[in-house]
Amino acid sequence: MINTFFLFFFVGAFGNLFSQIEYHIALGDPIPIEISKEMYVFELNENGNIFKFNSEEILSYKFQNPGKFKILCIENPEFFENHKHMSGDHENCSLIHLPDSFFVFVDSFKINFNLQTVKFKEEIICGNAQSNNFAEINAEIVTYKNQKVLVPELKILTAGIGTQISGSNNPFISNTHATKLKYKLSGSCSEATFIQFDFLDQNNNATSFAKAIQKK
Amino acid sequence: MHKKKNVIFFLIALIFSLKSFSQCIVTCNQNVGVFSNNNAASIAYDNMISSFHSSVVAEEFGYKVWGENVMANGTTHSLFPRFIDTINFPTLKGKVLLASIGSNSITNAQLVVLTSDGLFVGGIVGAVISIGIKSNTAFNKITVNGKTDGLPFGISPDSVKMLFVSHGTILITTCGGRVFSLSQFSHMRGDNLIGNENQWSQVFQSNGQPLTNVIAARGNTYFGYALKNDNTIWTWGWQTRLGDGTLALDRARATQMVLPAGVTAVKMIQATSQIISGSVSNATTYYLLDNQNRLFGLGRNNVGQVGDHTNTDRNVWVRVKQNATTDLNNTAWISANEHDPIFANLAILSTNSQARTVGSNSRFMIARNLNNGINHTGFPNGIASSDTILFCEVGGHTSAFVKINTPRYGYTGHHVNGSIGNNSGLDNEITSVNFVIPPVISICGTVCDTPKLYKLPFNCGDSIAKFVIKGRSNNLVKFKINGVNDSIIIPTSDSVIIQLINPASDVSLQILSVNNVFCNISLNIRDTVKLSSRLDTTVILCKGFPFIFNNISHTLSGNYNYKLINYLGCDSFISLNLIYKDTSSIQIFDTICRGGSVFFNNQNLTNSGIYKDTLTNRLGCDSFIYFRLIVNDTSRKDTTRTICKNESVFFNNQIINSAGIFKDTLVNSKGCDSFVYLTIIVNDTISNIIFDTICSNQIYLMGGQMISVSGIYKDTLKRSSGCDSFVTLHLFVKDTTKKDSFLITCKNQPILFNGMSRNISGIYRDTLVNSKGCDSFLYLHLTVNDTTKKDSFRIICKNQFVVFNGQTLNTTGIYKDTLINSQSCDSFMYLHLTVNDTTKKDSFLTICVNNLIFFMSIIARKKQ
Repeated sequence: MINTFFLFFFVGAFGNLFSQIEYHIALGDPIPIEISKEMYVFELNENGNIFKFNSEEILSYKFQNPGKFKILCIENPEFFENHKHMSGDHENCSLIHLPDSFFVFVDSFKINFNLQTVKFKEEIICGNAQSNNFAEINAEIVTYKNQKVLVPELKILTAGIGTQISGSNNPFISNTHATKLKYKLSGSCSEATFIQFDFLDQNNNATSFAKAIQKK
Repeated sequence: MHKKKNVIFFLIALIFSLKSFSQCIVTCNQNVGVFSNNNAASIAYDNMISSFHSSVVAEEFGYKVWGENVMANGTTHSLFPRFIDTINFPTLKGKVLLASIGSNSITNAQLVVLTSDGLFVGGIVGAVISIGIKSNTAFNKITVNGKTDGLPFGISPDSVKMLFVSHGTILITTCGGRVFSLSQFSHMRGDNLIGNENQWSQVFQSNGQPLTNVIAARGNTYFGYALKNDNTIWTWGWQTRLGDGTLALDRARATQMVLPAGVTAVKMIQATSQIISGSVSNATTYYLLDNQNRLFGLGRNNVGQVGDHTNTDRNVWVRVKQNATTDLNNTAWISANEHDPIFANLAILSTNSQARTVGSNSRFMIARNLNNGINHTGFPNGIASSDTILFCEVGGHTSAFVKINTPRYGYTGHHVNGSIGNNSGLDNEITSVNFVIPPVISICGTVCDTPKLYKLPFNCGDSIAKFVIKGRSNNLVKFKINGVNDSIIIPTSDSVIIQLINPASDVSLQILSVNNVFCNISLNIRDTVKLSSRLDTTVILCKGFPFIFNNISHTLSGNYNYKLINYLGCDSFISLNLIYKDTSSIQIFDTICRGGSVFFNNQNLTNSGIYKDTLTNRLGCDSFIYFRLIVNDTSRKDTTRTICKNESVFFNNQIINSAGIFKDTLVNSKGCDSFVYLTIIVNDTISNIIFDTICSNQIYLMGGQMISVSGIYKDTLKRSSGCDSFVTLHLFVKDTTKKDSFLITCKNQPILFNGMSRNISGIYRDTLVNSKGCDSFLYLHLTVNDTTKKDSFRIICKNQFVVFNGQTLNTTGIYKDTLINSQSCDSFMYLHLTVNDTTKKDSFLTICVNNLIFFMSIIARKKQ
């Protein structure tokens, strides 16, 4: 779920084990960061506006503009003051330590998949090749200021016992509107089982649903 | 109604609790690790239990414990392993049957020990059991709900088969297959929320029946996960999953899960959770190992802990993979972080004794490259792929591995508060599995109970080879003697003799395992074959090969007699008849192509080289054949051709019009095959049908063709791919209309037509639109007749007048009158009138009144 790239430059101290963390998120999505509550405060410069957040606020913050943003992670002195009675360095143990800063790349659009509308041209039967099959799903494309954006090729991946089914659609240009995405499927499955279908957005974040699949 | 149901539950629980079960605890259970068998009911899940920074191990002579909060006062850390006995824990009573530990992060652990006297607990208050049961840290026996052995009603210590401990929770699996929960978390009690944290609850199924026939109840902190003897799996607690695609859900009673497709028998179950920021939501991950060594995962996957090489949560069972594409098919043992809720991960042992880890690597607890992060299935650092790993245990913030022939266990992760047990209280990180600094431990089932192996002397004349195995009585020793597998149980005398009568060769005995624990001890007895005291032998050799015997080199034929004594002291009489014969040799040459073969000396030769065969010549001696083989290479050429769907390619005597790879075989310059591979890519053609309409006075231009007649026309265009685009035009030509009008007018009466005034004879056209939308042509045939003109000139005097066009005129000027000429047009008559003045002359005459004067015939009179 978290599209995170770690590049480590090991210096020796624990706090330096991080280098630059980057998160790629869709417009309007929160930052998929795991943090220990109240351990840090955060500072964001979004187009000249300086925002300061506590842990809960940073987890729920939604960027208003696309682009690349740097977020400073500042150790919360109150947190460490309140926890100094515990075992000193041991406090590090179960806490998530963050680097001094990290970057967030905010896309200029977001795709909201409506799982209630998933349809397959043909019922998926394990043992049958899916090369002539299609999946359809209604989706809402929300773009920054309703501008036209290029939505890249989107994919469906599946998980489950014996499944190798996947799907892809074609890139298209869109502004904010509801649309029906059509994926050409390929691959097959071998077992009667439950298969999880992951509709991936442009950052490979999955919106998933599962269904029982019969065997031929 | 609800109250009534509670009573029923209680009665059922009471009835079951009255049943007695025989003791089923296997002391130092050996069914563990990479050599564990598929008997799911006897798997020794808890021979090592690691919480966040503490560990408990089962050894042959008892349980040992080290790490955080495990000293008798419940707060002090033990820096090295110490037995759980009355020396270290003075309040302990009875025989230790089972031990475990649970934690919630650092310095927050409670040790739980089951003895024949009851349940003992020590450590940080609230880490496992509620403060309502135990409000101090000291290790001592607990009383639960008035029962002084701390166990559920009707349960005695010897009827407990499995003791599972995690943060806030103890699960007991009884010998009879029931499950009891002592948990601080409501749904984890599995009793439909009727109990509380200060009493045991029996786990019930969602249908209201008790959960029975369970052979293993595991889970993690907030959720239970049980395996029944009918190979069904069940779960209860917070954020549980069924594997059927549904989302995680809180369940207050055990609900049956679906098995992964294809699974018929389960070997092991494990579970873990990832609760970083305190949120239980969606935190659960399940694992299942079946009896075909296939490993499955389900659930939370944010750090890759499911093992399918993604980090997308899985609500259906998926195969754990060894890489992005290949499933793990040889898993023998798994261990998840079960005893602490914070970090989710798993260690996996394969049947070939390789270790892998997956999931959270906080403080390098699974020995992967990056602290924390997402870790897909991979090898832990510090363990070579050639190492034989027998056992693994993943703890709350550490992992342990046992390597064959390595007495110290391997440790990785956060080292603090004595967590390694190496008498060190340092706080640092062990970033790869370290087999050097940890202490020696002997986890049951991972250590070969090394037997002693001896051989009895084998003297000249003996006929029986004898080995002696000394070991612990009742141990099952599997061994291999001269390649044949066998086994024996060591009798009460602690030794056994393995013998082989009349061995035909040297005898080798290898001990393979003791009680299924891998061993590698071997011993040989040599020279068990005694030659007779006399040997008459004939040796035939070919010339050139000296025969050395008794340090004498013989090169000539003859009889040679020796009397020797072998090193065992036996006589050895040898009569040697040595015969030398001539040898011969020939050479053969051959050339073949790559891919071909030549059969020579019982083998198919495919590579260039010199091969030798030895036959017998006419003298019965060696005839050496040297076969010099040259293998010429074949050649290959790959060609790609792109055609259109309606095209074809002639290749290898066939017409090809479909995509694919086609092969033709030619002959290259060396006379070998030249393989020509033609890859055909077929691009689609496109057919377009166009319907169009024009008017009959229009022309439709189609591919250079001018069309004006209704009909169906076809044309073929080229696409960007170079392929045809077939166009079929259905053209309908609609009529135009025409109308002629004939009109005659006069020159001076122009006609307005098509926006212009017309007064010249001719044919004029105007174009309108008819009812079909086509042109309607209107033709005007106009005839213009001339008008006529006549000029008249007239001169009159002023005192005269002229009547013209009804007027009386006496003024000079041009006057017009319009008449109609013979063509019915105007005839204009112009009168040019000139009026000349009259003249006047006054004459004065005087006459008389009575006179008359004639003037111009007028009688003039005098005015009166």
